[in-house]
Amino acid sequence: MSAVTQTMNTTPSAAPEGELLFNAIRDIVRDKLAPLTVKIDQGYYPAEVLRALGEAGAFRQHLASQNGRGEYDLQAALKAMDIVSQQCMSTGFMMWAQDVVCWYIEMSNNEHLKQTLLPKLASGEALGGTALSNPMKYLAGIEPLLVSAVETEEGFILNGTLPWVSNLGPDHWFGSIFKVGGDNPRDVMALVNTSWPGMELKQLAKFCGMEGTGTYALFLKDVFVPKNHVLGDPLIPYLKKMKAGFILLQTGMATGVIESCIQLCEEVEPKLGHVNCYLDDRPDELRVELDDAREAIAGLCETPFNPDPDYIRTVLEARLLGGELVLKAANSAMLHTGANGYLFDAPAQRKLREAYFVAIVTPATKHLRKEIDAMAAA
Amino acid sequence: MNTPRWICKTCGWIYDESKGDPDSGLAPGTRFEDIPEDWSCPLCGVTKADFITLEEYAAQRGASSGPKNRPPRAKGQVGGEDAVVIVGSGIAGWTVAERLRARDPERAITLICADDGCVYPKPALSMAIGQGRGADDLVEQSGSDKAAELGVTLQANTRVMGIKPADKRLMTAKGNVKYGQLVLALGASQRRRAFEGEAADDILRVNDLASYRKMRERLESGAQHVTLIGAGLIGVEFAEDLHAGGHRVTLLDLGEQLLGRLAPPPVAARLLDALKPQGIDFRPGVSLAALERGGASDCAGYRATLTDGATLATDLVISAMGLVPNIELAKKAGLTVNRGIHADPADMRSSDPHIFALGDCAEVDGRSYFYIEPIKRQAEAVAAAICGESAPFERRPTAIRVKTPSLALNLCPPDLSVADQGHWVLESENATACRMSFLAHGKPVGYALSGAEAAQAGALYETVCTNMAASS
Repeated sequence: MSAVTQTMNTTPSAAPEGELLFNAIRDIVRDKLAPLTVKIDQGYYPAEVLRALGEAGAFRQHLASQNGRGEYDLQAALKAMDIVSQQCMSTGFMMWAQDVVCWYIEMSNNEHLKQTLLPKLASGEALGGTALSNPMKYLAGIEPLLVSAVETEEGFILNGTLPWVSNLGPDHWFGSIFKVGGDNPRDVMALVNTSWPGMELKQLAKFCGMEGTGTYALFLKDVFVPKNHVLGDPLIPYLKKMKAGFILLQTGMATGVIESCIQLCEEVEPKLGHVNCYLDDRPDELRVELDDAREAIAGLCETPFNPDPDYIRTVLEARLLGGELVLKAANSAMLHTGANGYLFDAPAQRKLREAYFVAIVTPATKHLRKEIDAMAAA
Repeated sequence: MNTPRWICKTCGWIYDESKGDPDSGLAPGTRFEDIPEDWSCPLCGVTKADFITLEEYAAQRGASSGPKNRPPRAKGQVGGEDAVVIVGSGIAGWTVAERLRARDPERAITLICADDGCVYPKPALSMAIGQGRGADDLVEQSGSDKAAELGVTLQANTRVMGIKPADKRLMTAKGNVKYGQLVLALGASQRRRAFEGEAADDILRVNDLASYRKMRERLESGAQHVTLIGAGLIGVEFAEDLHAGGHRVTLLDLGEQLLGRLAPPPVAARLLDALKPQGIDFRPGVSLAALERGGASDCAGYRATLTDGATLATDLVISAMGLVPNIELAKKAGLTVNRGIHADPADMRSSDPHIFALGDCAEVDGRSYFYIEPIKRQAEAVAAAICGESAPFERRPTAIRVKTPSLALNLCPPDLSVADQGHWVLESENATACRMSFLAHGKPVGYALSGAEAAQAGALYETVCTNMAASS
């Protein structure tokens, strides 16, 4: 508990903002990230890059309690992610994971975690992942909840397995939603550490890209979670509050990859413009679509707690658009760059694999369409 | 982007001075002229002599063979700079497509809709149970069949997220769509009100086939108790149709009578007399306050708390508090909106010359038209205007046949221009039959007919139309 007394009542100093922040991030991308991009795609986990991004202030823009400005600046968090994803979407994806694990605590009523852990996660000193893929599909009626719990006086004892949770490693944090049995059956969300007794991380699958994202299968066997790590109980009002932010924060990955795909098309324009003009989805057309998407997302970022169903639906649509547009842009980058884009370490084919990830990661395109369809009938 | 770049004439690999060629020992920043002569292209192996600047390369190719205009595309066209794009697949949207096609067999038309685009008669939604028809039985034609019949490109299951009038394009969740002329047939939504209680999100609003299907699914498990919020046109029609399906109904309304804004009290009282024997429990002056889950199961069984403090056990709550035109898209795009999207009666054009609005989402001279007959005439006006012709939308009194089988009801409420210049007069009454006229300056400009008197509607409507035409 000593950490509590140390950090209690200290107002966080103002995080860098605006161009100061974005230039710092561009420097990190150029100096630290760019040389590692291909390695990350193949399996290297860039902890040092994530910590540098955290130190620069990338993970606390959306946290009113941590950025010194008292505002939920989702737009700045997204722009940081966009800049990074232009170079390496694996790292952009891990920024989302980190942003969201912070968002979990920020949106909770858990003062203990806000005082102790949140400053460390927000600065990149501690790292963590979301682990909400299964719960989100559970809430959309796609699959059952995979972690169950028994409640005790002091906390919960968790058992279950979660496939494919990202941005993990030893002593990382993740948010877990579990089904509590017994006298008071309900769903509860809490923050869990990967090094707690009973936790096991296994790297079982090999993916076709984005291998350096610290993605593991999580095995929980009698893992004790103390009550002071509970984030949401009752769960549903808590999830409703954070849902729009959770989804909006993903869109920076998509816009970053789209931007870089457009740049790949533009770069070969002097060389191939005379024949590329016969292709669909030309860079100028994609640019218009990206500008429209960014504008729409910026508007949605202004009111992350708007409970209006129309607002939530538009957030889902914006995320859906990101998934559709990124595939179109990556496909275009392949066709525009031609054989040079097909080379083993060519950015275009890496972008293509990154783009599919945007459309597949929860909430996936099919998941979003299902939710939007359900809302249409309400 | 502005650093000097050289391109390999053989394979097209580009040497960028800022990046160098670290794999061959050229550090970033190495100038092209400083590259040793024995260096070779990392991709194809030719020497430095085979490189030229990108500008030279572009000058060689672009000027000679690059087409000035954008060449034709292979991809099937959704929208387009010359196309008419219709948003919405309700009666308004499809009727515009029909009328437009009738006037111009060649025009490129795209219809974009959030649902599957199927064609169904919306008024049937409040009579289908009594007719023994399910949601699927109401579908007259699939969207793709209708589109093929009309030669229209259908972009179904696609919601429009934004309109950029200055650039004549739409933003959709599937990407941008260009338009030459845009027709907004966005419909209306049942008014939303925030109710208290953990089950408030379970309240249904039925205004299209998808929500109707959901309602019917909820009613499948046998006889239920249904609470209807709002005793307007939809509320009373649903009440009677649900009763016909064997369900018990409680009908709530903050007003003191049924059909508060449409029917004078003596006519409303006769409808109430007809509904009461069916067990339809009307609670005037009362609405819902809160909805909680009642039973052990969380999928059925609610406890409703009413604004007068009473509670009741109910299985399904349907909100029918009136229609609100869907104007958000138009508002965000900067079009003139009031309650609905402003449309000029001459051609149903909005405040933007390339955008038209009609149906439930539109407002003409301060009036919304939520009925089929005026929508068809509005569609004609839109189609004519797009084809450079003219078929102005004329304001006519609104004739409503209320679909309550227990009592025939024909209503023609006074137009708002005369609503405060007259009063209802009871002309005859006899048991369920009742005939009332709304007199302005001594002339009938509206009527309310029940029972046997309802048959007089045709003749009276002509009189009302004549009187209104004379007064304007």
